[in-house]
Amino acid sequence: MSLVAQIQVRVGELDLSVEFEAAPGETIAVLGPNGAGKTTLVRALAGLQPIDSGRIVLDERVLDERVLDQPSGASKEIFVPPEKRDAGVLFQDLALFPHMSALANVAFALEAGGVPKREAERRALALLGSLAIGSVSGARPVSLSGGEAQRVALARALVREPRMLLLDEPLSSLDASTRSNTRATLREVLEGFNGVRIIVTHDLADVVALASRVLVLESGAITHHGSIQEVLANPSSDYVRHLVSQNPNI
Amino acid sequence: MKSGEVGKKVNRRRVEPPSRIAVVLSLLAVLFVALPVIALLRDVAWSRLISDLTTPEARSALRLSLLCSISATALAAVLGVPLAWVLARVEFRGRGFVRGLVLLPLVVPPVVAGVGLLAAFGRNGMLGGTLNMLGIRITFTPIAVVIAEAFVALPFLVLAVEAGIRSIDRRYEDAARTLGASRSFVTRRITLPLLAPSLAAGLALAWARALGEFGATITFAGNIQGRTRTVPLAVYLLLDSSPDVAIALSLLLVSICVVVLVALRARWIGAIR
Repeated sequence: MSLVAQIQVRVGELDLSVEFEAAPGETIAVLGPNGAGKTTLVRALAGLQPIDSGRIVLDERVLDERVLDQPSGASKEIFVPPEKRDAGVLFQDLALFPHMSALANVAFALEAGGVPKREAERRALALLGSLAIGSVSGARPVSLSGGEAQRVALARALVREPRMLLLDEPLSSLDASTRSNTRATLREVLEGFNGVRIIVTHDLADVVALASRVLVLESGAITHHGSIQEVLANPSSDYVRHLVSQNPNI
Repeated sequence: MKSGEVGKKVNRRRVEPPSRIAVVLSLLAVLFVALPVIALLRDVAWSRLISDLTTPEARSALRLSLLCSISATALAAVLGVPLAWVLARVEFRGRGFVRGLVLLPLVVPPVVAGVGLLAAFGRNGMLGGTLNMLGIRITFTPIAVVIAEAFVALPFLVLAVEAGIRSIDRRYEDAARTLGASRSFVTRRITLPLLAPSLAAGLALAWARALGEFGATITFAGNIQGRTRTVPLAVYLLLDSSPDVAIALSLLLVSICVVVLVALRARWIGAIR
């Protein structure tokens, strides 16, 4: 089980061009400043943004492929829509459905796959319980605290047991005290998840706490790649040099 | 909440008083709208209101109006909701032109709309010949009433629903797709429930407009009791012969409009903003 991604896509001003592989059981952090293309990368992997060229392969299965055959000019195209990709996505702003309870939000993912409502709710409730938020299962997203909403969204992304977990800035919306608490939960969840794990962040603390490998993404391109120690020891861009100077302890 | 109230108070104290001319003219404007309604209330024969509203003529007009306006609203919804979706979500050349065209019934004089509908569906109209061969006659039937009402009501529905679709955050639909939901499942479980308030507003506005339709109906559908004489037509006709019934029916129409507007107040104002 692994992910092979060669992605070229242009969205507005951004020209994203990245190549990397990810093995199951390792957590890759994609670190970069705002506008570097982190969210676009997540959207491309999830199938919400078809790529212009390249290919995305998960566990030998081609999810997205667009290759221009130079001699003939013909192009080969494969596109697996998002609902068939087996990717669990935690969106930056969570995107919990506002008209459904926490429980219904999680059960939705199972019902979408044809699980009967009662069975879906039973499994959703069990998962919420294991994340210690069973007590808020009946609440609408608007009345959840930041940390609770985060866990509900996490449960929703995990409940279908996807093969790939994509976390887009999972902690950026939380205040400092909730963040360290939720980071610990996230670490447990990631350790219990066997598929490919990608976490997008601009916070070095997330990388250190959660990831085994880091890709630094700047202006749509990967500028550094390796373990966090390697990257910080050999900074080759102002962005990473700045990170080093801001975090002298790491 | 509290800080907002305090802020309001502070604001009020500091705001420069409005110009007197503006205040006077604003009061005149409010009066201008309210006066006909007040005058109408004065003219209502309250003691006979119920019996006026249950005369055979009134009842037949009310029954026809109710049936036709609901059918017209349904027709406008079937055609208007998909159009609103296309206008809100699909980028294509001439989108601005199409949107303008859909608003046409809002500004075109209803009588002219009626003439246009006659030219299209009338016996000698563009489609009339074909319809005639198929044995379908539209003019001077309740179907003509429904078409005329749907024509004038469509823009209200499209405007409200398009604004509603635009206000739905695409992230919800994106998130639902990644959770394994097909497009139709997303439409059913995410888009339509989130759209419900706007859809209800659009339906109510379209229905109120259909209910009050006069010009296009009398031109295109005629004025036949029990077949095409809706409440507004009956009001116009009865104003000479039995003014009390005409006024009672007018009061009913005004009341319905007020109820719809009050029910929609928040939405309607939100849409304008």
